[in-house]
Amino acid sequence: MVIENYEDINSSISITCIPTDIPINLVLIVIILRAYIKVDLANLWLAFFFGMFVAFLGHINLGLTPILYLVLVNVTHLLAKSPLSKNIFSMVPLVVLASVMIEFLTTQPFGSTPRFLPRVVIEGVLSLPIYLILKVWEDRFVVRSQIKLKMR
Amino acid sequence: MPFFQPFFILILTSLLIFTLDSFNLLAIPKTATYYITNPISFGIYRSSQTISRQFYFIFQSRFAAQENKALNEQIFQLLSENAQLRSKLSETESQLEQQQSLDPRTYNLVAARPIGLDRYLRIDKGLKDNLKINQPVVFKDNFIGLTTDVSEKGSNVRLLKDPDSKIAAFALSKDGKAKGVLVGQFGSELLMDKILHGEPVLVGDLVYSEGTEGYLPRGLILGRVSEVLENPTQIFKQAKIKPIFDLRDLELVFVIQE
Repeated sequence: MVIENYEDINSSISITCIPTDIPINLVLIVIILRAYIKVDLANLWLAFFFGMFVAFLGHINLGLTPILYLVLVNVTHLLAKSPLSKNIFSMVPLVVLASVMIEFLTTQPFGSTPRFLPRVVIEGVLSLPIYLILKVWEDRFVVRSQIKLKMR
Repeated sequence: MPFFQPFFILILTSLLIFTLDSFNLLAIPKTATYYITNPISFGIYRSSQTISRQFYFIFQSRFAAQENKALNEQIFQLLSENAQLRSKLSETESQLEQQQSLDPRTYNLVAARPIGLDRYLRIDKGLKDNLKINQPVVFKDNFIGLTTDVSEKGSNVRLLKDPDSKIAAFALSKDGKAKGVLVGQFGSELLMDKILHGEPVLVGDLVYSEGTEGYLPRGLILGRVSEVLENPTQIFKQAKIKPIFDLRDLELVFVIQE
C-alpha cells in the first residue's frame, strides 16, 4: 500500500492503534474495566482525555467520544456498586453493549455504516483476560496512598 | 452518583469542545497537534506494518511447510508410480525384444519375473501357469537355465553354473565349430569339456546350445570363451566360459513351454 500523505496514514490507523485488520477498541475496554474494578475519580479523567485522543486520531468531533466515555464510565461506576458486579462475567455484556453503542454513535451520525462483527465478539471475548490482568495490576502493582490498619 | 461534580464539569467541557469543533473553531490547535502526532502515527503505522509482516511471514512459513510436506508426499507417490511404470515399460520392452529373438509363433513363451537368486533362480510362475520340470528359461537369445522344482506359484531354475547342469554346446569361431559339453561349476565361470584338439576354440568365441537334449532349442547363446585350457597329454581340451550378462540385471525371463 502506498501512503500518499499523513492524512491517509491517520485514517488508516484504527482508533486503538492495534496492528490488526480488525480495529479492536482496547482503550474503551480498559477504561470500562478499570471503572468496574475500582470506582475512582481517575477513571473520569482517563475517559475524558483518552476520549479526546481517540476522537483526534479517528478524525471525528473532539467532544463526542469524551462524552460517550464519561457516560459509560459513570454507568459502570453505578454497576460496580451493585450486587451484579460480584459475578465477574457480568462485565462481558457491559463491554459488548458499550462497544456496540460507541460503534453506532461514532459512525451513524457521520453517514458511515457501523461494523459490529466480528469486532464486538472479539472485544467481548477479550474483556475477561483484560479484566484479570487489570485486576492483578491494580491489586498487586499499584501502591495505595493510604493503608488503613485495623486497631483492636 | 459518585463523583457527580467532576463528571458534570467534564461533560460540560466535552460539550463545549463538541460545539467548538462542530463550528471548526479548533482547527488551529488541531492542525498544530497533527504536526506532532502525525509522525508518531506514521511511526506506529510502520511498526504495526512490520509486526504484521512478521506475523504474516510466520503464517506463510507454516503454510509453506505444510504445502512442502504435501508436495513431498505427492513426489513420493509420483516417484513410486514412475518406478512402477518404468518397470512395466521395461517388461514390455523385454517382451518385445524376446518376440524378436524367438518367434512366438514357434515357441510358446511364458513371461516370468525373477523373485530370488541363490543357487537357483526363483521365478514367480509355476504349475498354475502350466510350467513343468525341465523347461528352458531364456532371455532374448540367451539360455538361462532349466526349471527344476515347480510349485503352484513359483519355480526354481537350475542355472548353467550349477554343477548338475550339463548341456551339449558348440563354440563358433571364424575357423570353424568346436563341439563339447558345457558343465556347470560352483562359481561365475562354466567349463566346456570334451572338445577335440582339432576343433578350433578361441578366446572371445560365443558358445551356443546344440539342442540335442530335445527340450532345448538349438542356437541359444550360453556364454563367451574366456580361456582355453589345452593339455596335449589329455584326449580333450577344455575352455572356460563366461556368461555374457549378469543374472541380477534381469527383470523378466521367459519360459519356453513347447
